[in-house]
Amino acid sequence: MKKFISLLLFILLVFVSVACGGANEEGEASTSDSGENSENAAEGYPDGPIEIIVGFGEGGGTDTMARMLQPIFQEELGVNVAVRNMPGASSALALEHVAEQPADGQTILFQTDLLRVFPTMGMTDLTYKDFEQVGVGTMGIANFVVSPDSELETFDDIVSLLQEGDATIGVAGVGDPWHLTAEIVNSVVEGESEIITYESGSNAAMATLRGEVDFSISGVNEVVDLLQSGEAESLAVMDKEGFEVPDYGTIPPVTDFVEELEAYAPEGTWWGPAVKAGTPEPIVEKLREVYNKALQSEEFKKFAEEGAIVMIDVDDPQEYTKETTEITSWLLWDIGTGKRSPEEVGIQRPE
Amino acid sequence: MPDITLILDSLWSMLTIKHLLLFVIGTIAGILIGSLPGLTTTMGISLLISFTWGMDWLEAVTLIIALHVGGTYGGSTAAIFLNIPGTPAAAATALDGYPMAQKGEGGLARGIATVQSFLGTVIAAVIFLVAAPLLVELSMNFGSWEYFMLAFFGILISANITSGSLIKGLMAGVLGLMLATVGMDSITGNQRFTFGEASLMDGFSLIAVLIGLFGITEIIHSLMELKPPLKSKNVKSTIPPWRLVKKFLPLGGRSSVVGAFVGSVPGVGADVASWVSYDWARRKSKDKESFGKGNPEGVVASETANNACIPGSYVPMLTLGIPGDSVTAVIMGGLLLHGLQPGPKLTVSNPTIVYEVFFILVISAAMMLIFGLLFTSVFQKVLLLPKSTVLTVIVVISIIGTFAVNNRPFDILVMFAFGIIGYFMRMFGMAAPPLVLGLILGLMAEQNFRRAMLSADYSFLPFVTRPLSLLLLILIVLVFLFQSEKVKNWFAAKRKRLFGNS
Repeated sequence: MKKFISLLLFILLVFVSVACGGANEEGEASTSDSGENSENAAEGYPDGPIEIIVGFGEGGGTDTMARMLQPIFQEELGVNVAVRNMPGASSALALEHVAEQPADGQTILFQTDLLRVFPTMGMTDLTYKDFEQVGVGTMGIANFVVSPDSELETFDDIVSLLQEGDATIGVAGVGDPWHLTAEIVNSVVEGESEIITYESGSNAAMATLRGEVDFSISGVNEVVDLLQSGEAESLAVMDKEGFEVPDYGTIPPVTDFVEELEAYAPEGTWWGPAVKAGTPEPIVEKLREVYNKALQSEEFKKFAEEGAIVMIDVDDPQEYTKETTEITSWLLWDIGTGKRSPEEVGIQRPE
Repeated sequence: MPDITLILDSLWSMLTIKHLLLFVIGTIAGILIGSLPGLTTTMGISLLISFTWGMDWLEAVTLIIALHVGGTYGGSTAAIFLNIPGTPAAAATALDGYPMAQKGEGGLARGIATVQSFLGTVIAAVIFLVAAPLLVELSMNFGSWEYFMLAFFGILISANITSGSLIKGLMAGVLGLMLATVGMDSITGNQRFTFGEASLMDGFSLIAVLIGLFGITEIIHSLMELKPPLKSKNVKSTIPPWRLVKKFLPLGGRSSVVGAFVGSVPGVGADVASWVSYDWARRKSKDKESFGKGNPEGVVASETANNACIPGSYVPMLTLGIPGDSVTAVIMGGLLLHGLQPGPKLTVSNPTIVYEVFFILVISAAMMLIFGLLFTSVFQKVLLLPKSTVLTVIVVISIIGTFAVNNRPFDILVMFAFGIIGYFMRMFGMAAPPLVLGLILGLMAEQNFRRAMLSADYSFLPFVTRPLSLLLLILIVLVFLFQSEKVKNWFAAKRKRLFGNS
């Protein structure tokens, strides 16, 4: 009997501690609401330490990049800047966390291109409208990877294979930039293919090398070591100009082979800081300035070059997130991969 | 073969004061955790991982491996002096270790266990150094078919071996498989059994499940039967004379190979390695009768093999991304946390990792030898710590550790839930490791099966036409046939007829 009581007490303790956790969370949320309408915050910005929220675990590509930016932000803003990882639900949990914080620029979301698939894949109801994109400065460009002994020797061969209609393509996951690239190319060249997912672009490349798929699409940054060691070859990048990989050579752009693809280039996974929508404009401007400075720094340029990450120049980042969200979510919905109509979260079909 | 200077560089970088300190901390923590009955190496490592946050990966891996080596050895203390194995891997050690202690040879048994654990680790580390690159070569040919077979084999064999009853083991394994389906399916992007809970979209947090099953379960279990602190005589380790070490060298060598081999089979761990080695040593020995009555050879066989199992289990974990047992499953989780993706590509992105792991193993083993021989009395005192103190500390560490991984309160709930599930499982005699392997390998099996079907146009044929896949399939069938009493009896009858009754 005594044992039973202590077991009951233990279970009770568990529930109490979890309930407390929940209560705290709500408490936090309510205080954040009250702080939201402090417009004057712009002058005193930054007001105390800043957190950069990363939606993926430590050590991944997104995390590494955020950690490269962190010291530069810290120096430029003159306050402590910390990177905090909140992995889960393809980074949707991180978006939700930032959306619950005050719109005062003290919490920065390290946004990725996944933002554009949420409206149809349904991990969260948040869209680009809930954030103000500070910048989109870096991209892992999509590239077409084959094994060195593959019969596919140029991008033209890939096009003919797609047109024949029985190509198998390895990508990381459904709705990722690599899957999108495949769908874009298919729609332009009127091809068909079977998509097989391998969790990461580099795993997909490994599957190509084993001959499980005809070719794979991934970020150049994910396969740079395979290219340099000579284990894999890249036939084209989804861009308007070629991309030079150190110790490997220049990968030609898809537009060299199929001109019509120009409208869709560059395509790949992108990164850039964002803040909650409604953050005062001066704060966003300040952050934009700091971010651009960080991108121009020698450390960051070296990091990008070594990692085969492309620096891109987007004039209006907020407009960019709007456009790519509309195009991408509707494309996925139309081909039957999407889980809900983007209209459900207010994303209009692009004209 | 990477540049020799690169290899030396990696050795060099481990010889800094800071790094050596990590070795010391890891090894001592491991020995302490291993010594305390109820605290397992699996639990120690899963708690440790969340604290390696912010370290660079080499430091984190050092700490983890040092703890693994120390913990596996640490289990021998309680086995010898109290007849309670500190960890499941030391169960076979108790058979002869405890009788030796009763005869007043406890110090010697401890000394032998220490030296043999060291030798086992080092010999198996050399095997690891040779085998890992070979397996990487082979694994380049592993397709979805082979990965499916391996994962399937792992789940089946763990259900088969780690729990006394095959049915209960399979039940736990199937439960793990069912839990593995929770979360977003990466092939279609559909959400399965998430019930709209965003925190479940990636499935259950592995670390939360492990800490729950191996930490919280243990705490509940101990609460149910809080015993007064154990008493044991304080005996110093005797450094075994060279003559004895030399005498045991052939047996030690054999046990190392057995340990490393068993360790490399997915689904079985150090506990099985030590039993297999013990059994083999007994059957080969000229003095079978004295086994179980204090024959040092029993201690040698068991302690060498359970430590030799460590490098062995790292081979499939690092090269194929397939964890052999629950400890390596946790370690794999830790590697992922630090951005290292175990599998064939690991050696492409980190060409020196095999050498680094080798050095870490050898240095950890050396540390363990030194501390094991010098500070035995300290480690023995740990056995006398009141359990209530130890348990309180562990609950706190468990909660912090679970939360720290994803910064998610939800995971704490998962941890406690699995703690309770684990407790009831234990009440019904179901072992936890098959559940854990079902959870990890289940996802691997399912996704690779579906990929295999997709890339072969929904044909089953490649499973039997691909040579490696066929080989694994035959292996699975054989293992299961030999479980059946009928088949066993048939073979026994056949042997009797052929060789007479001997």
